[in-house]
Amino acid sequence: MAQQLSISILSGKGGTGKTTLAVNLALSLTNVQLLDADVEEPNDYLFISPDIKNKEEESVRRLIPEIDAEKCTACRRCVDFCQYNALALILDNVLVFEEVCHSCGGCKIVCPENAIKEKARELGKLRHDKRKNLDFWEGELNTGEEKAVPVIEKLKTKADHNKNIIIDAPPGTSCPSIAAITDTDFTVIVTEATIFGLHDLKMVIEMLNEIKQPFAVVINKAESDSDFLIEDYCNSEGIEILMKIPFSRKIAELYSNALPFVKEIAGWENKFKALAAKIIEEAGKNERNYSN
Amino acid sequence: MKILIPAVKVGSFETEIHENFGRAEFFAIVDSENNRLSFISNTAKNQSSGAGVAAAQLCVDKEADVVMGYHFGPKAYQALKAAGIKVLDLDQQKLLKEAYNDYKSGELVEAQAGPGAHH
Ligand code: SF4
Ligand code: SF4
Repeated sequence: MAQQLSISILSGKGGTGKTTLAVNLALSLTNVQLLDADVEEPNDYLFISPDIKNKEEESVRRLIPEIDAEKCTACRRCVDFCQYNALALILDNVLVFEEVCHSCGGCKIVCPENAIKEKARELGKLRHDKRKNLDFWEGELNTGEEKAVPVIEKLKTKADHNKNIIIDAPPGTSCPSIAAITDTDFTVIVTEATIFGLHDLKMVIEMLNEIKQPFAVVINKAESDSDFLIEDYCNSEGIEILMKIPFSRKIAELYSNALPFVKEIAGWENKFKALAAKIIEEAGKNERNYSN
Repeated sequence: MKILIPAVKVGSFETEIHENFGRAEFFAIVDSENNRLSFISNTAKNQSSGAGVAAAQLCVDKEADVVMGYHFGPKAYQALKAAGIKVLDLDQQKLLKEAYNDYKSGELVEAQAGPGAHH
């Protein structure tokens, strides 16, 4: 295998089985790196590195303005400049709404009085653990912070392209999800076989098509009497279903005990290895399509 | 007293109150000295970021003494309070006149900052 592969795992909503897929796939491969980019609710660590909070940690910061009230003449230029409305001029004082600020640095430049300095604010953290065959990183957004993208981008600078990379992306179709899957070779969407699952799946597929990202589907909690919901749709759209993880009490039990079922139930390791092979094949097909 | 109330359109005291402070189409301005009513367009309503802050800034710039509404995000609330503006809670009232009458009879209570919309 010449070039290593990067795979992003995505779902329309949280709680669909993204963690299950990301963790079990990572554990059945060798020379692999798992990046948990679901920064609002990272929980891959529960299965990989339960005590990660005590491991190596790195702060993700950004710069926000700080107003020197002595120098400020309340000229209002910074407030009018800030297109994000992070500043307000109230009773001749400039108020900074730090969560709203996009750290563009513009207000500092337009201030004629040199009254604006920048200070660092922590947005979130990266944590790291190294296991036998698995290099694991997670990003976590601090509570109350709204900007996930900078944390995800910082996390992705840890990507080691000598390894197969699996990125557990935030669920949904908005900027953080897109930031996580950008530059990955292939996306696997996890869905449940329900009407709601199908609805969310379609939203995600629409987004992926828009950014021209190759993808295929895995059905989680598959059941023979409802899988047709997803299968019919995927067949009609020519979308590959790579795997079905059955609805099983055993799997659910293992999950709730933070045990990756690939290590607990015989046969699954090979199934996940086969899944990885299929993903490589699908991603390869896509490359050919591009070069033609 | 200058009172600002989010409104769905330019109209009269019979006009409906807008449910959202930052995203309201218009603000009704009532002058309690003479019961005069006027309207301004809410220039903040289409801002993709910080609409609540921008709407609060507008109220400050219009020198509001009182702002009332059903719901205030934490940042808008903080900005209004910093300006010394009285922030009052609406609940059952549907029309501007209902809100204004309840204000005059002293029935309105101070609002609390609600949970902000997350994106
Ligand atoms: S750094 Fe940019 S986004 Fe932040 S307050 Fe200044 S102008 Fe607004
Ligand atoms: S641009 Fe500078 S001087 Fe003018 S209001 Fe902003 S901080 Fe104050």
